[in-house]
Amino acid sequence: MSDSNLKLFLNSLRKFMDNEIAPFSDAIDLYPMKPLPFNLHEKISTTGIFDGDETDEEFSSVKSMVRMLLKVSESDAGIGAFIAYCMTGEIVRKQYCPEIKSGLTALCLFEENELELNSGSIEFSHKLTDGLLHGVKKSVMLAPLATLFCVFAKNGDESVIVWIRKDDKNIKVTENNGLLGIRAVPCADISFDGAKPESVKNIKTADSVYLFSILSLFLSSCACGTSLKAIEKAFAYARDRYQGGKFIIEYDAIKLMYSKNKAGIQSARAAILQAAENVKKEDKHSLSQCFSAKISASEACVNATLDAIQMHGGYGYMRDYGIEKRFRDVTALSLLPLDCSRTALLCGLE
Amino acid sequence: MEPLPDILTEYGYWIKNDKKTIGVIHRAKEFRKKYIDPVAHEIDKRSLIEPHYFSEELVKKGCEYGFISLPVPGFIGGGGGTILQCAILLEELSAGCAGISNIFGAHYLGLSPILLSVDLNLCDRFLYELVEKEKGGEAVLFSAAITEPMAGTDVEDAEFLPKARLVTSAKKVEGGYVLNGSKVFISNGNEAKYNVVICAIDKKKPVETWSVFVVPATSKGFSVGRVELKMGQRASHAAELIFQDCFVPEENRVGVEGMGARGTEIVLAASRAPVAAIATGIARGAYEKALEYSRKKRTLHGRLIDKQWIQLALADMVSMIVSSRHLYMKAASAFDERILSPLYGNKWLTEPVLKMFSPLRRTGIGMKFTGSQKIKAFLFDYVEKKISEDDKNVLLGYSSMAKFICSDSAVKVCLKALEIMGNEGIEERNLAEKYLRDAKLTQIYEGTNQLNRYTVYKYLINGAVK
Repeated sequence: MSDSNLKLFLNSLRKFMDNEIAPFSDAIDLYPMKPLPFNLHEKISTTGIFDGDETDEEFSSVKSMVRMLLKVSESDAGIGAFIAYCMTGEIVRKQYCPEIKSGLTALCLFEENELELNSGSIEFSHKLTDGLLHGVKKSVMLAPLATLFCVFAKNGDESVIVWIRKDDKNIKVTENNGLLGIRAVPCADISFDGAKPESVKNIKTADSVYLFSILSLFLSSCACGTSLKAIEKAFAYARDRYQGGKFIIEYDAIKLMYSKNKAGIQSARAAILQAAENVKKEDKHSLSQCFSAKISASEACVNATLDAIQMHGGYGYMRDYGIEKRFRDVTALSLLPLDCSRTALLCGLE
Repeated sequence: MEPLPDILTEYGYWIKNDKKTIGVIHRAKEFRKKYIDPVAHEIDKRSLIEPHYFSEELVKKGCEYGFISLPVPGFIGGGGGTILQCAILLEELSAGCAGISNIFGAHYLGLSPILLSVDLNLCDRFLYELVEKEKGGEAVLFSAAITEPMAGTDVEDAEFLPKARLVTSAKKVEGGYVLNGSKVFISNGNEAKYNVVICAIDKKKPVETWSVFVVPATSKGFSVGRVELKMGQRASHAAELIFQDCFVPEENRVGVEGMGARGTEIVLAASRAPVAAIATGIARGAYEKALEYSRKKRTLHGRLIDKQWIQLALADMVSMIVSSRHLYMKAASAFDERILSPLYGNKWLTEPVLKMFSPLRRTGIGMKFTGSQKIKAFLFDYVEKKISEDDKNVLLGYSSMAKFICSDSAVKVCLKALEIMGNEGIEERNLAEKYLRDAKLTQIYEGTNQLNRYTVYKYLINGAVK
């Protein structure tokens, strides 16, 4: 897809977000406490964002996806995160198990035990025994909606990706875990009690690190998109809010808050785009760039949304202004798939 | 060797082994454990769907513990608590749920203008009722209404007040005042029996006419507008108060006309340390959750807490909490020593004397006497003399410092707690994310942290340079 075609697509995405999602923004934010009025996956699918273009490398490049997520998340980072998780699942399926029929894939990454993260390696402890999967995967994003589970596990000493269909009777998905933010993405624990895989593929250590780097980039893009909008909204508010005999944008404290945060987000955005352009599974340095971008984006975006609330004063704390939602979304995104400290440990010494 | 006490259960030398303060700490800890911890999460969730939901039962339980009347002077039958004791209580409760704690905190804020103006008439009328009803298990809640739709920071600082775009005013009429306008984000506003409203009599001369009125919720012309949907501290409501030709009798005016601007600063000097305590409590709650999580969470080779980066993060958190606590306790203690004690330490205004004359004051003639303009003016002069401008400024500086340092620390501690818990930190079931949502509000209410920083500059730096 050419750059101009991508721009057209981004424009249509913006319209979709404004017309189809924004009116339901509050309802989506109350999910799962209140049911959604529609199937979110089906609705987003109508944009064609999940179709990709098998023949067009450009469209399905990481950079194009990052740009789409930046755009979508300006309106709602929860929807951005939903798309990010769907896309990552699809990337993993295409790369490791293209023969499997596609479906909404949930990546099962976290376990009851803390993941062992060291420079450039992730150790999973979940084990495949006699060809069957047992145990619990925690905090699985998209789990309640997914039709396919992609489980990272061990088969003997080998690292494997195990694919299991949701209709396996030996799988139990718990109720939705309510989240601080990005509530559009349902999250649950899954217990496997002798579930039979549809497919098992050996992977290298670098493969799981690559997955985390891509997901980190996607989710950071969502954080950047929404926090940039938050700080712009705060700027607009500051131009209208009159205190102490002048508009509050005229105070140094507000000017600094706006400028520093905007600079922080913009540099994080640039780092994300650059990392997205360079990322290659085999290139450790490029993976490290992704993690660095995630770390800087997380800090910049959390600070920006905290300050965006502060610039709004009491109004920023109220749901009606939508700023507090951006803060909650960004904070959640900053901890996904891994928080900054764990990301730094994984990134390590390259 | 005896084990060292848990660093966070020690309040240190500020309480000087004072039995009464230790009693408050014990009661607060028990209340948290028995009544807050089991319901905090549920109330928070329920309030998201039902913003009007209010846990009356919990507040009634607070009556049994004497929390409603804690700051009410002993001569009226209250707990005679100091600002320090109120602050410690709020820290303890906030470690469980800042929203529930804020119900009591906002109530204390509502009481402050009456207590700090030594308005005996209002004490005998409203606070006596509060004390008596508390004995029967009924909570008479107060609120303080200061913020207006177009004036937040402006109404919290006398310097900005002349430029404020005010919408609320009290017009003088025969026998009292007629209030018109609205106040916003008023904690307890829709639950309080009495709203202490601070507004101008003449909007063109707000500093000179800034006055304080007790407006009963049953007053004609008074109504509650919207109840806000907040990100956190949802157990405590923030409501809009609307005044449409709302008549308030003259005897419900606190002190004298025009005492509001200075009075507000004195109230804020008293109330910002307790807000700092709420922030400290929130940080403590988040720390407790992170500590518990890191002790329980297993890794392939041991426990999460065995990892060095977790240990350092926990050390950072506990250090911030202990420093915060010292700062707010210093501010609260200083207020107690330099304002509260002298105010009620005059030979005619000591507790035994005031208590002795209590029944007499509450008779018709007594009420008429204490409610007379002469007595109100006399007491106003008395307060003016007792609280020097320097004391007010320095104490406001310290309490503002405590407020912004503690609230900023609380947000940092909560973010660290979430980081320790990683991706599980964002899940409601792990009970940590609520602390972060709650903490953010402490950077905003009681004057934004930017205003508080400016107050520190104005009263502790600029004053010293001169």
